[in-house]
Amino acid sequence: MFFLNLSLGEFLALLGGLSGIVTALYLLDRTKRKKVVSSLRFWVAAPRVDEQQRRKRIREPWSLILQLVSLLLLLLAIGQLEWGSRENAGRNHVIVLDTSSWMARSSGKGTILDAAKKRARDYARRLPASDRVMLIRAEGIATPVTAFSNDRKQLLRAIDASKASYAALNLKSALTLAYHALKWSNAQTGEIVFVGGTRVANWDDEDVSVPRLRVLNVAPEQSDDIGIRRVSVTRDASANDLWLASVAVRNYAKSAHTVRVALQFASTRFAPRTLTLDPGTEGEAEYKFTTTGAGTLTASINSRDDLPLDDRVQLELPSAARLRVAVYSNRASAWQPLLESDPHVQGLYLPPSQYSASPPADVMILDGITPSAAPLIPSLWIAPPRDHSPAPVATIQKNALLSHWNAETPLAAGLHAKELHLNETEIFQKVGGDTAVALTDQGPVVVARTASDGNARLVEIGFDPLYGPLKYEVSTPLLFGNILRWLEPEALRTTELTATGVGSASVLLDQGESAQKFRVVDERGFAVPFTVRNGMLQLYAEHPSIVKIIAPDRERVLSLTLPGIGTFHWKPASTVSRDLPAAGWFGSSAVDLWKWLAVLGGLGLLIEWLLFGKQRPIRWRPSSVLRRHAARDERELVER
Amino acid sequence: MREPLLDSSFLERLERLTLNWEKSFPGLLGGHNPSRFAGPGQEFLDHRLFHQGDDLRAVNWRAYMRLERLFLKMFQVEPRVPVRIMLDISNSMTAGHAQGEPSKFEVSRRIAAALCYVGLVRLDTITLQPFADKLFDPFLCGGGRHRFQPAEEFLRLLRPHGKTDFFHAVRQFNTEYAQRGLLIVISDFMDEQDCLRPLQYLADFGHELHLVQIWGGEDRVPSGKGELELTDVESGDVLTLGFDEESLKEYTARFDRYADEVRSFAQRNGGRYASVPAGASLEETVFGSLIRSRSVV
Repeated sequence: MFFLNLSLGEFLALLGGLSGIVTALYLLDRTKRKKVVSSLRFWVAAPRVDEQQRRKRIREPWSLILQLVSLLLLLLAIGQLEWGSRENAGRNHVIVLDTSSWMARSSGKGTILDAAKKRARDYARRLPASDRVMLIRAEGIATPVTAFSNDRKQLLRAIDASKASYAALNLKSALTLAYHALKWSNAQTGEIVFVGGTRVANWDDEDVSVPRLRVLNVAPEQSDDIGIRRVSVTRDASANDLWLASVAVRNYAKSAHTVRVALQFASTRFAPRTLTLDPGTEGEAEYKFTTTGAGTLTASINSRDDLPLDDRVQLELPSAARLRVAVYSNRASAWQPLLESDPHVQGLYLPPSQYSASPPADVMILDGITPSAAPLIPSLWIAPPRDHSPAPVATIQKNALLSHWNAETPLAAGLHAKELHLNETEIFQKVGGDTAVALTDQGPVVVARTASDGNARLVEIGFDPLYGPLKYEVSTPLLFGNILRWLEPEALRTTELTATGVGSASVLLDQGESAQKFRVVDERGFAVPFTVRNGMLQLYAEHPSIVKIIAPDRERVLSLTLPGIGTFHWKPASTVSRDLPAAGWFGSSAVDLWKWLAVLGGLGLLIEWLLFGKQRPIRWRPSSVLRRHAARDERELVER
Repeated sequence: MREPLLDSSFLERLERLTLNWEKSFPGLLGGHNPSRFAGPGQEFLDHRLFHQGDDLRAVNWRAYMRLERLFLKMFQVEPRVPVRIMLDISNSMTAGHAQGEPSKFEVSRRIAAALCYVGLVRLDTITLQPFADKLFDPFLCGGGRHRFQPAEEFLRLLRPHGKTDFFHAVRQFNTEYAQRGLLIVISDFMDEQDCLRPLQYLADFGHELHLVQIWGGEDRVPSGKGELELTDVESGDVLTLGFDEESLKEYTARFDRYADEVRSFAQRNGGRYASVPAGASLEETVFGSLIRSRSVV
């Protein structure tokens, strides 16, 4: 028993003072009661109580006792009297509920998560009612679900509403969050209770620990799970229609298993591969297949384990489209070797007389001709007639030396090493947003113009690259490759598809790839936040999703649809409590009595007023026996 | 609008009652109810509604043919036995009633009004005589129910004042009223002096006394206990005493004994006695206590 607001001395002093005042008021109130009567004749004759003797005693002592007791109760209520041990009063606890993908495993009746929920509920029920609990759901990230509250219904609802996610458990962040929440809660510190499995995503989580930790492990010791970890599909660089696929399978079980990997594209099934996997190891099955069409690639394994989510994965492959180039030239035979050396390019050779502003192609080449109408698709102009060049021709230079490549534009990538001798070339004047790609000492000889005002992109070359020694230069196909990629980047962009687990994803970048050139978007086109560190692009997906990492020349598609499963085992320290606390382990917390005391105090004063107050509705009346006798006598008196 | 002392429906019920006395007073008519009405040839006075038991010969059949209601013809009879109502209006009548009860003064006025109406209906001559330590101005009425309104107004205008002094009041009464008759005394009989002795003078004079004792709940069973400071409402005397249940018991017994004395006195002198608690309704008082005591029949 203790007072929250008053010391015992203060309480007694206050009680004594108020009791003195109440007693004095009581004695003052209980002085002679005045009464006006019809006659004194019967009063004079009635037997009198000795007044002196009566004054020595307190009249209506129950009134005074009721007042004093009520006063005592009200003072105790003001002092917020509590009964019990104060040490156990109002502690804060944190329940960290593992909702990682591993918890979706079936286990007898229901999933492991169901068992974890039951353990969490059991723990919550053993806590004293005054203790407050915060619930944190732990998966790839840790999310506080409830604040510290002693509302058990809210807590149980939050526990019941928890669902297994697709991400692996990031234990360290969850326990760190719980620890800091407990530390900053400014209350009696309780426990951090982890309820879940021990499979964690990161190796440094294996020995993570925080003070006052209790672990309620619900995952079975034995696990027979085998699952697909990753599926990668890339287009082969040597052939536009050749795909390379690899399926990585991991054995999470503690014994070796043989698993058969099946791969199917559209309706075509490939020969299955058999992998024998030691405990905790991964194996890969590789496939090569040819297709130009789009379709669904499905990889599956024949494992019949408790977690079917990672036994099958699908990827949508795009069609193997090539860049179609319409060449309006009188020398088609000169263009064919150049364009057909690249399997990703398909040439369409047409005489200038069949010119169309919008041919069935992605890019057109205008070889020294004057088009009847401005092209509606990206175009490459070769030595355009001086009077009809989109970029004004300043002059024509003979025996020019191409001495400078503009390294700031991708059109000149890899072309900065060697000077080229040009027999004759047009020198352009830059207009507006034109970009000079190659220059002689007199001016630009290759200019590029971005799309504007309804006009498509175009590049102008002031000289003939297929004429003379230039066609033997390495720079020529490089320049054409750069120009075609710049004119229609979509068509020449390489595609890599990878299916991997939900949660954190990392992509190894090539050297020289800059984060500023990336766009990372989800399947709806919304930007996805990412970081680039140590040559790795890292991003996080909370839910199954498809993320595209789009660079100028390649596109990586991450299908984050496999459940992220931790590959490391957490080993809690031996000192950590590992079971539900016994009943009464927390001790009984102090019971707050002030409400009851206030009610009793008020009730006491009400009763006192009803029975003894001057304006009391319940007047003092003679005893029941006397009243009965008086009533009988009254009847006799009236009826005689 | 002032509320009447008696409402019309109650007055209607009173019409079947008669003031009753036992004595025969020499030289006066009445005293026995059968001879109350004169025979034919007497002076017509009034009509009243016919009630069961009335003489059919006195029914006004002409009025019945016109109005289809039975009216009884009444005739003036002289001289009659005088009926006097002594009404105590001393200050003691304003004290002693319990919470929720009307004051004794209020009850006594209403009883006096009821008895006056009963007498008027039966063509008695009524004298309303208020008193305290002396007699105050009386009100004489007679001649039928239509004279009741002035009597009621007289009663309404009465105000309690003065100290009860039966001795002086009786002596004055005997001086002023030489003719014997029915004397109804409505009082609480709370006189510091002995009130029975003056009343004995009245009985000895030849009046038939009907004593109506009105008492309040606090008069008989006072509330409160402990140290009491009592003030006599009439004299202003103060008495301080300790009071407990035992004292209360004795007090009530003494009050009852006193009421018994008053009752015995009345009966011993051939009169009537009615004990009326202030908390009782007027109907219960008239049709209960007064009929039981045969003050009215």
